[in-house]
Amino acid sequence: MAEKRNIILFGALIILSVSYWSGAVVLIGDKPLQISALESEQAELNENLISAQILASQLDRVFTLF
Amino acid sequence: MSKTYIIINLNKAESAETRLERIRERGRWAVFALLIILFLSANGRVWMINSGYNAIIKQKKSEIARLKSEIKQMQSRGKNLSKEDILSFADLEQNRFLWSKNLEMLGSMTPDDMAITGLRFKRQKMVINGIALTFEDRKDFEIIDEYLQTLKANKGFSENFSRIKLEDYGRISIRGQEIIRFEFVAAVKKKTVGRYS
Repeated sequence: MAEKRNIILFGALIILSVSYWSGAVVLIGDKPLQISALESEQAELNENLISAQILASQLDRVFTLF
Repeated sequence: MSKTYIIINLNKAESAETRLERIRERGRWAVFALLIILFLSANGRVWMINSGYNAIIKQKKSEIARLKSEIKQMQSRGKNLSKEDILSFADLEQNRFLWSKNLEMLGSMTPDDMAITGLRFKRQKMVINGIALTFEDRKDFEIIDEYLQTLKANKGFSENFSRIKLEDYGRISIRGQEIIRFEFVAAVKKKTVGRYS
C-alpha cells in the first residue's frame, strides 16, 4: 500500500509540475507585455479623442483648465 | 501447592505497536494529501491569473475599439479647411491693426515734458491730443514739430499710417501756467489685400 501511494504521489507531482510550468509559459506567456502595449495605445487614442473633441466643440478657452 | 496462572486478555483489539504504526500511516496520508492540494492550488492559481489577464485584454481591446469608432465619427462629422478659409485667415493675420503695439510705441516716444490727453479713432483716422511744456528759448511750433518728426521717423509706428500731420496747436493757460496744446491726425494706412498662393 505504501509503495503504491508513493508511486501515485510521485506521478501526481510530476504531472502537476508539468501542468504548472506549461500553464505559466503557454497561458500567461507575454500577456503582461501585451497589456502594457494595449494601455499605451489606449492612452494615445484617448489623447487623440480629446484633441478631436476640443477642435469639434471649439473650446478655445480649455487651456485655462490646465 | 499453589498454582500459577497466566492471564491473557483476549479482548484486546490491537497492540501499542500496531496503534503507533496506524497513526504514522495516517500522518503519511495527510502529508500526501497536503502535497497534492498544494500542487493543485498552484495550478489553479495559474488558471486564475490567466483568466484575469484575459479579462483585462478583452476590456482594453473593447475600449480601444470604442475610442477608434468615436474618433472615426468625429472625423466624418468634421469639416476640412478650405483654401478660402486659410486665405481669409492669412488676410486677417496680415492686415490686422495692432493697437496695443502702436499705443505702446506712442507712449515710449512721448518725451517727459509732454503728455497725451486724448485719443480718438474715427473714419480710419486716429486723433492724438496732447499738451507740452513751453520753453522760453524755443518756439512752440518747434517743440511740437520735433515730436511730430519723432513719430514720423519711427518706422514701426509710421508704417501703419499713410500720413501723420499736425492739425492744430496753441497756447493755453492753466492755473497761471502757459502750456501748449496740440492735435495730430494720423490716417490709418489701408493695406492692399494681396493674393496668397
